[in-house]
Formats: sequence, C-alpha cells, structure tokens
Amino acid sequence: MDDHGLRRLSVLASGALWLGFCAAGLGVLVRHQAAAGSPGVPPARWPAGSRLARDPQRSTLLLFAHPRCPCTRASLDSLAWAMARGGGKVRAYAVFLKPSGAPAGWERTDLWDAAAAIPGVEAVGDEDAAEAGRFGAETSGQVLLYGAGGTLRFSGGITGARGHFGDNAARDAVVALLAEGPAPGARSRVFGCALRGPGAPAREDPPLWKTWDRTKAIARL
Amino acid sequence: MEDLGPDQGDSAALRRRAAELFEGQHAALVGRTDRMFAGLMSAQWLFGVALALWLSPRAWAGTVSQVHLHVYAAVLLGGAITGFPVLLALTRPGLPSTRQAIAVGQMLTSALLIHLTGGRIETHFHVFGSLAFLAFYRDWRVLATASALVALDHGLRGVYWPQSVYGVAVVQPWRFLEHTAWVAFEDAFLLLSISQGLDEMRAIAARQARLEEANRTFEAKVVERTEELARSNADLAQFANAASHDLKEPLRKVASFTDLLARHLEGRLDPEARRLMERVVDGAARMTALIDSILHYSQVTARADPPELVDVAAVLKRVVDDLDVSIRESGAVIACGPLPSVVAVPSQMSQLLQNLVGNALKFRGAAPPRIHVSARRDGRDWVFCVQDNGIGIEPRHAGQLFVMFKRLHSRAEYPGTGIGLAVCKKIVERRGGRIWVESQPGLGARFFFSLPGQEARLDAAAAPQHPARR
Repeated sequence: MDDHGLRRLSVLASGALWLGFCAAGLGVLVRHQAAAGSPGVPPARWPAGSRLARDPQRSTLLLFAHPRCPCTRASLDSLAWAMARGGGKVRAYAVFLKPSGAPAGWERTDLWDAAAAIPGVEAVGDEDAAEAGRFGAETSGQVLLYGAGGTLRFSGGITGARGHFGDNAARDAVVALLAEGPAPGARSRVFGCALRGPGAPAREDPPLWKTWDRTKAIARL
Repeated sequence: MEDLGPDQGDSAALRRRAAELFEGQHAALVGRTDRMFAGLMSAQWLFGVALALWLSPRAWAGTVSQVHLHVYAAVLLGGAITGFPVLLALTRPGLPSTRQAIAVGQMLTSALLIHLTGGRIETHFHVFGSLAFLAFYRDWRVLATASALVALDHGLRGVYWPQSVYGVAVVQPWRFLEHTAWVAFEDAFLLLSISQGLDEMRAIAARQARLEEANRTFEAKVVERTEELARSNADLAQFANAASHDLKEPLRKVASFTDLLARHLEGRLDPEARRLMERVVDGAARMTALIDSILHYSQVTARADPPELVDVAAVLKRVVDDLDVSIRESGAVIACGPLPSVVAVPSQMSQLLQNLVGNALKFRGAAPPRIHVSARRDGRDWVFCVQDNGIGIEPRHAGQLFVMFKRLHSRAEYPGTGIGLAVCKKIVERRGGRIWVESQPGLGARFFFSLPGQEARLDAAAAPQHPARR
C-alpha cells in the first residue's frame, strides 16, 4: 500500500474511533438523562403531622425540590406549564430542602425565585427535609398531588427525563388530574438530585467511571 | 441573458481551462470554509463548557455535591467531538473527508448542546443554523450527511426512547417523518442556493477563461505589432542612414566639384558666374545641414538611450560651455535658479537646453542677451522656463514655432534649418511633457517646458546658483 493509501486508511480508522468515542459519550449522557431517582414511598393520604396546610376545597400539589439541583429547573418549567392550565383548581407548594447547619438563605436560589414566580405556587423551606420525610419524597422534582379529600392522586416527576424541558406524559397527566380526569394513584418516574445526602435512604447513581461499561444500555431505553 | 458557464461555442481548451478555474475557486472556497468551521467549532466547544458550568455546575445529594456529569461531558466529549474535525480542517483542508467529518461533528455538537440545555426547543435551532453554515461548502453531500445524521438520531430515538424527542411514550411512525421533514424543508432551499452558487462560480470561471484567452490573443497581437513596429523602425533607421549617406555623397561631390571647377576656371569667371557657383556650394551645404537635422530629428525616437536621473543644472553648465563662443561674441549673461534632477535621456536633455539657449542667443536684439533658466513645481510636474530679452515673437505665431521647417524669419536674417524647436517638442513630448512659448515682439520670450515630476527631486544644494555667469 502506498503512502496515500496508508494516510487514507489512518484517517478512516481515526474517524471510526472518533465516531465510536462520541457515540459512547453521548450514550453515557443519554443513560444519565434517563436514570430516574428514587420514587420514594409517599403516603396514600395526607400525613397528619405535616405543617403544610391542605386545602379541603380543592387539590393540593407539592413539588419537593433541592434548591441547587440543576435538573429541577425543568421540573419547575413543567409545573409552570401545568399551573397555567389547571392552577385555579389546586393549591401548590414548592417545598425546598433547607438542611440544618446550612448558611442562612442557602435554599433561596434562582430555583426558589422561579418557583415563587409561578402564579398559584407558594415556595416554602423544608427544615432538614422533615416534610420530605413525612411525604416520602426522596428526589428533587417529585410531585405529589392530593385530592380535596386528602387522597394521593399522583406521585412522580413531571419531566420526560433528567433536566429535560418540554412535552412529557407525566406533566400531561397532572394537568388531566387537575381537570378531575383519571383515577387516583397515577405514578411516574421522577428525575432530579437526591433530597438527602449519603447515609439517607436515597438511591444514588453509580459514579461516572462505573457507567462506561454500560453504554449498551442505550438499546434498552 | 445571464451567462451561466461555458457554451457550445467555446473551444475544448477553453472549457478545460474554465473547469480548472472552477475547481480552483471551489477548492479555495472549501479551504476557507474549513478554516471557518475550525474557528466556529472551537468557539462552540468553549461555549458548551461555559454553558455546563453555568447551568449545571454540580450535582447534589442533600448537602453533598460533586462536579456535574454535564461539565465532564462538555469538556471531554465536547473536546472530542470538536478535536477531530478541527484537526482535519487544519491539517487536511479542502478534502471531502474533512468536510464530511465537520458535518458529523457539527451535528454531534448540536446533540451535545441540546442535551446540555435540557432539550430546550430553542437549542434545536443550532441544527438549522448548522445546516445553513454547512451549505457554505456548496457540496450537497455535506448537507446529506448532516441531514441523515439528524434523521438517524430521530429515527433511533423514536424507536427506543420516543419520550426524549417527542415527549410521549408511544408515537406514530410518521412523527419521525414530521421532524425530519422540517430539516428537508430547509435542505431544499439550501440545495437550491448551492446549485445557484455553483452555477455562478462556473459562469465566473468561464468568463475568466474567456478573458484569459482574450488577453493572450491581445498580448500576442501586441507582441506581433511591436515586432512589426521594431522592424519598421529598424528599416526606417537603416533607410535614414542610407539616405543620409547616399544623399550627402552626391551633395559633397556637387560642392567639391563646383569648388574644383571654380579653381580650374580661376581668372576666367566673370563675377556673375562666380556668384552662381557660390550659390551652388551654399545650397549643397544647406542641403547637407537639412539632411543632418532630419536625421537628428528621427533619432530622437529611433535611437533613444534609456532615461535616468539627470541633474539639469549640470546639463545646463555643459550646454553653456558648448556655447561658449556664441556667448562671448554676443556678450550674453546666462543665469539660473535652483534646478531639479529629473528622469530623462541625458543627451536629449542636453539637446533640449542647447536648442532653447541657442535660440535665445540667436534671436537677440540690439542689447546683449540676458538669459535666465528656472524651474518650479506644478502639481506633480516640473515646469522649466528659459527666458530671454531677445526680439520676441508675435503671440499669433507661437503655435507655429514648433512645426518642422517652420521659420518666422528669412535665412539671411537668422540662419538655421527650422528643425530645432520641432526637436525640442519631440523630446519633451517623449517624456510625457509639453512645451509652449509666451512672448511679445521686442519684449523677449519665455519658453516653457514641463516634465513629469514623480521621480524628480529638487536638489537645490547640488544646483549651482549661477553656473555660467559671464
């Protein structure tokens, strides 16, 4: 093979390697995007010990949020979308984690401001995730919808994937529920940062370097 | 009708040249576009890193955080996506494989940026913008690769994870077509634009090829005409030499035999016969002078030395030395102001000044001649002036002075051939200047001539203030 042929072959081989690497990298990202957090075990009825006020006349929606979770920005975007369509039929809280010992205002991030800016949504702090514990929420972005009678009607995330903006079935389900649609107990996967740190009963994603050999998981998506 | 490329009337060689020019222009365009993408993709990489650091710097678990996967992805994956095409653009610009890699890299960058922004619909415009940029290559294959990659991505996602691209868990197969149709919609316009762009490039190449051929034909004609002119000039010079020799020879014989005849008949000629014989000798002498003058006139163009930087003051000093006898006889006073150096043929510059100063000496009045030579700047030209206090000229005759053989006075009054000023005119005009006279009878005359002064410089220090004051 002459020099020209060798050069051509080396470029082709390099291109194939490059494409393989890029495909693998994007695969890791897609897998990360599709990896749901722990759905928790929310109580079927509004917990009696909660300090949050349930509206007996209409549904009450809770969105548990980590104030620094980048993925939760998409959850708030979906909440704003849902509130714009069924906001009059629900009392909504954005419940932000507020760890003890954290500096004052730690929870007051741009996500807090974004939540507070949604018409009909009240942003509240959750000292040491006490409310999250009562409601069994373990992942930022988890939405719980209780009916006027205090029965859990929906539990899960309202984004299609981790930090993913736009249309998704869960968001549509919440809107449908606000319109007094499907039966109680609807669930969806929830995507976001863990509300509690290591040691807490929150599922953690494996470290990044342990995911490289799992890129074939793309096919299972 | 717009010319869109080589037509049937063009020769095969012209069509080949047009194709060659088109290929060259397209290669240059592709090389430029490769370099543009090298810069654009590098900037996109940095933008992606900044985006990740801004939107998702850290992933949290309670109060514990670590660097977010997006930051690693932006740096490492973004670097890989960018690195290979940029490397090819810098090391192998212009090659089809380079722009194909750039097309793939640009679409992968779109995918990465869309991912980093959480699939925001606004970021999808990066795909459409990239297609428009890729159209700069004016290569439909590049667009095809990029569009196929988009279609492949949507097709696979539609099958395996429709939620990520369509927002719902189950989709109809036509949704894939709906999304890719918008890419095809843009492609249709871009392909049309590429086609028109290529047509224009072909038309330009064809015009350039025709222009080159026309130039070649024109240059060949110029060379041919120049050679003809050179041959003609050589023939003329040869003719002039031969004519001067052949004409002067019989004249010399007429003069010498007339002289011999006069000696032979010494004492036997009556005064009238002697006067007639003297007129024969005088006529032969004048004819010889005329032939010499005509020969000299023709040599202004036929045998011109190359021009060089000439110190006019030094030339004037030599001229004054040459005219020393006439100056002494007439009691003339010659002065000059600062004179520049100009680019001219030295012998012609000397001839020019000698004729003008000589005329000033010749056409003098009762008073001894006072001659002043000066120069001034007039825009980009130098204007020289030779002023005298001689007999002057009627203004109405000013235009006739520079015509060959034109004389305003009889030979008995002022001897000469009537060629001197014609030679001056020819010398000045050969250098791109002009010559004219301002005068009144009895008030002297001022002869002006201009020479282009781009290369000239006033060298007052070198010019003697009064080189020939007598």
